[in-house]
Amino acid sequence: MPPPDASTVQLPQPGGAGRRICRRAGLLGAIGAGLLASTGVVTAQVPAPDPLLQLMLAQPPMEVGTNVTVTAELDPPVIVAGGHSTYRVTISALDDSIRWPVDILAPQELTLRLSSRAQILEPAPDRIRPFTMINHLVAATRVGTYTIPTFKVQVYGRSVAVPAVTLTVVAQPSAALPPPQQLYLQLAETNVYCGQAVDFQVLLPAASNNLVQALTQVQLNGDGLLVDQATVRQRVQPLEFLGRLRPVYIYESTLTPLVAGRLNVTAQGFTTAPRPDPPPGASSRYVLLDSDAVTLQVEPLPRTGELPGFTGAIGKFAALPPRLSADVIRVGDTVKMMVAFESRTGARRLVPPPPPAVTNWQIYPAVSEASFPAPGASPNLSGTIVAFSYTLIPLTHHLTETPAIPFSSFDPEAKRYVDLTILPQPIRVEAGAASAEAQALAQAAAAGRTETGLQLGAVAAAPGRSGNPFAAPQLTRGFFGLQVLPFAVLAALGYGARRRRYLERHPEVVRRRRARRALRHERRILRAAAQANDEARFVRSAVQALRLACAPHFPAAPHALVSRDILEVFDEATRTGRAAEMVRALFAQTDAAQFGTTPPPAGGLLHWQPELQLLLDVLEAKL
Amino acid sequence: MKPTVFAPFRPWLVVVTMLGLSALVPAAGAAAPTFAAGREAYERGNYEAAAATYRQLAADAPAAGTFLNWGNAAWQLGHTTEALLAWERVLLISPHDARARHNLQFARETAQLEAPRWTWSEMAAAWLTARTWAWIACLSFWLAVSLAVLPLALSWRKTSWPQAGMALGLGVFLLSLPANYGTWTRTKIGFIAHADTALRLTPTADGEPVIRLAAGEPGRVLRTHSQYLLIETRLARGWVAREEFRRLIAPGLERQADAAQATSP
Repeated sequence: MPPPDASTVQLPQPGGAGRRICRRAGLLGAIGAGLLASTGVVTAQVPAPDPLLQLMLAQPPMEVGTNVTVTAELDPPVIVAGGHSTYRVTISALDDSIRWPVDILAPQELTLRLSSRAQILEPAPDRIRPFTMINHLVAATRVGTYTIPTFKVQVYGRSVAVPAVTLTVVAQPSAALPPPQQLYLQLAETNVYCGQAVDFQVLLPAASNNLVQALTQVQLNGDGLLVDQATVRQRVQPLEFLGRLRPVYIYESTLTPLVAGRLNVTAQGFTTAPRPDPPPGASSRYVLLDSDAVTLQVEPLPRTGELPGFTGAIGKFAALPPRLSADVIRVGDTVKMMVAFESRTGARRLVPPPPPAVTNWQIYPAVSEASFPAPGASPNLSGTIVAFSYTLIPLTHHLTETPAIPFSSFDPEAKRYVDLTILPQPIRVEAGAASAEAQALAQAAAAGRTETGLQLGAVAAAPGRSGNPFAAPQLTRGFFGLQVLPFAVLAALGYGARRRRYLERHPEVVRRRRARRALRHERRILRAAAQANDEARFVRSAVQALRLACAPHFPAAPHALVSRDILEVFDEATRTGRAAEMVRALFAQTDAAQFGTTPPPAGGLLHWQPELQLLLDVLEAKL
Repeated sequence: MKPTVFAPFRPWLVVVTMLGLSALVPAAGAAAPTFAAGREAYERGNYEAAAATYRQLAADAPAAGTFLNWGNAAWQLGHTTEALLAWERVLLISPHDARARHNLQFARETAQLEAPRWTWSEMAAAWLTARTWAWIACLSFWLAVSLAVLPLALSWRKTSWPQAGMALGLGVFLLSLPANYGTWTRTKIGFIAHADTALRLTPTADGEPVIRLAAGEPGRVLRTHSQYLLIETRLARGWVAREEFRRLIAPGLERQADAAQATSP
């Protein structure tokens, strides 16, 4: 393969920082040695050197921040219109230190797409140099010569120039044009279910000189994938590839899609290539290669028809007869049950089903055993036996078989769940000295069985207790408004009690109130008698009204008052005036009627009514 | 015939009596759903009809058995949230209903759901119905106040029993306060209505989902904002639309929406 179009930029070395780093590493070693020495002085015994520290000190220093070189190349530099090339930029710096632009300024006729990016550490005689390679896929449809101009990127916080490269696009393919070196990703299946393991191969065919290059740091790019690093296999095998038989380097493993949908997967890896200008002792260099994207169509597992004990096993499995480590055991002894499944689709991992909660057996979670190829299986490893083992302890005797362990898998070809329940195995359990712990476990297991055996209850036969579940009176305003009622009742009672106590302390208030009430009644009788010209009744009512109106002022019983007592209530002018004359006349008439032997002469007293009313008004006002 | 004092009112009496009876007796033409019809539909396996019958009965004449059977029918139809709400509401009517508790335990174990995280006051509230707690608080308070006021107001002879009664009333009132508070905070408890409901970071339809929740996942409303509720679940805190969360004790308008939603789950 001819050397690619490459340019190299050498950065200046400000102050020889690289030498400073080396000196720092040496200083660190000296400090470490000093620490060890000082420890020895204090304890007076020379301790054994810390092997980890020794290993750290023995490592060559890493070249960081100095001698940043940037190369850019197109692989291949000449392509046919409609083809594509790889625009590869190599920077001798740590990946994290590079701020790579999102878009690269390039001619409109070229289409650039970031395809891979990775870092590799290249050992040198006295140090380790990090290299970061960034690949872009360049596509061109029109014939011509195009230059991707130089541009700046930030490396270690400093601006570094990426040199320009030129791509030639020709109309017809030429035999002189070597095919670009790239990886080929092959998936065993592209229509799979979420969680289904898929075998994949990353192929690197030998170059035209049949020289096979190895791959390192192979990885798959894509979202929602899990690559099983424990099943990686690598080999070289002659294959019919690109029209001729050639040796091909094959890297194969298993990937598991974790999300449903269309997943685009690419592979990338480092291989070695001859240097265009090799320095002494280093004739090759690392080159980052990548593959075209492969689309994986991932479907979610159906929810319907799932069987008990499904732990995510997807594929075609066949259960092999379980094996017990003993046929006859005693209560409390352990017995190991080896369970194996033959995978006909190459699945090398299975999540064992959890042990069932059963009475009379204590079962520990399964332990995975090493998987191995099934006898007579093809070399491509489809046909693997996956095994795991359960440890069981019988808690009671008279047991005749081990409990069944529910297990199931999903068959992607049949598109249905398959029952793989581990069937009960015959065993004889004899009475033995079960420990107290074992007996307690048996009881707990029995109790747990009754608790977990839940079923939906039967429907009610009658509506039962009625009530509105939303009725919470304390959450309504009406409830608080209702509290006004007892408050009002109690407030009224309190007010009444207070009033009653007041009246008990002031009986004159009660007397005056009663007198007023009686006076008003008597005055009504008085007016009626006057209207009826009933003088005798008028006089009786007038005297009674005067007595009632004056009694609270003494206080005295109304019937005990005489005319003089009445007149004492009035002022001096009234006592000597016409009113006094009227009072005396009325009392005289009453006394005569009450105590005289003959009835008093009638007539002449009714005309006092207007003055009497005025007098009673005065007396009522005084009450 | 001897006239009586009711004689002038006879026609009115007849009319009023007829009206009263017509109010008491359901209209002959209206085929009102019955409890037995719902049960019969359930036993026939016609869970849709059973759920509709019990839903209607629960609205018209709510009872513990109605809600229990509604929950069973909804569970058979796969409407987890509707079933959980129905059974929880049985406990609001009849707090010690063992059948509802059993069904709730069964449903949560089957659907791998957690029960709401009740506070201690809410657990106290669950001992009795909300109405009972309200009246206990009300009566005990007024008993205490009455026994403080009445001996003075009515000049009762000084004895120790009013004071003992007052202390008792006050004590019961104070003890009922947490339960009444719990009754109020239980109105904030609810369940996610639909499966795969996104709990969002912001109260907007385009808010970034924090987590997706299963139907029947319990939550507690912390705040409301327009048509969104800030809820806290055992997994995370975030916003959901009102229609995506159904409260156990739905307030006024939300209850109407709840009923409308229940008819079309």
